[in-house]
Amino acid sequence: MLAARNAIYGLAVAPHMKGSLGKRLVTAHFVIDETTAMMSAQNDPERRRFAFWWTAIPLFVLWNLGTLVGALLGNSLDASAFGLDVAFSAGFVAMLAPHLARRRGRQAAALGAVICLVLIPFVPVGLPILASGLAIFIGVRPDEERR
Amino acid sequence: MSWGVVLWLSAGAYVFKALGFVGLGSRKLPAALERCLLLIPAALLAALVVKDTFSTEQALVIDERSLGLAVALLCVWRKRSLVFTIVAAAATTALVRAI
Repeated sequence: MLAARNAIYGLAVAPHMKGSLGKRLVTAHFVIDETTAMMSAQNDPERRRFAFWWTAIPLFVLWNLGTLVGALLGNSLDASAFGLDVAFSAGFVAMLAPHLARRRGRQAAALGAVICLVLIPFVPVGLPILASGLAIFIGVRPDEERR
Repeated sequence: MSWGVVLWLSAGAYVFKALGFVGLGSRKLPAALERCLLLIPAALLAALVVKDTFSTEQALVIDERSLGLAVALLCVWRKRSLVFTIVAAAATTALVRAI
C-alpha cells in the first residue's frame, strides 16, 4: 500500500524524462521519494535529469549495501535505540526545504500533512499518504505571487 | 516471510513505479497539470514525515520521535547539512529514549 505513492511520483517525473520504452522501464525502478524530491527542486530540464540520476545512483548503491549489512547483522541490534526511526523523517524534512521556498509548495505541504493526519485513525496504513496527494490540486490556479 | 512473497511484493512495487512513469510517457502536459505535478514532493514528503513521526499503525501518538523531528526542523531552518540533520535528529530521539 505504501508503495502506491510511487505511482504518483512516476507521474511527477515522467514529463521530464526522455527516451524509449525500454529506457523508461529501467528509469522507473529509480523513481522514489528522494529522486522525485531532488529533481523537482530544480528548474531547468537538464539540471532536473542531472539531479535525478545523481540522487538515484548513490541511493541505489548505498541502499543495497545497507540492506546487506542489515541482513548480516540481523536482529542483533535495535534500530530504535539509535533513533534510526526518525532518520527518514529528518532526511525528508531536509529534502522538503527547497519546496517550501515557494508559496504553493508551502500550501501543498501543509495541506498534505493535514489530510494525512486526519485520515490516519480511520483508514488502512498507506491510504493517508495517497490521499495527501490530493493537495497538489491547489496548483490548478496559477499563483500570481512570484515566489 | 518466504522468498515467493518477497518476489511478488517486489514485482508489485515496480509496477506501481512504472505505471505512471511509462504510461504518461514524455508527452507535453497542460500547464495547470504540470504545476500540480510539481507539488507532489511537497505534499507527499510532508505527509510521510507526519505519518512517520506522529503515528504507530493507526494510532496517533506523540513520543520521542516528535523531539527528533523538532531538532530536524531546527537544523534545516539553520541550514545545516543533510547528514548533520539526520544524525542530530536520530541522536536526539535515541538520547531521550535512553533516559
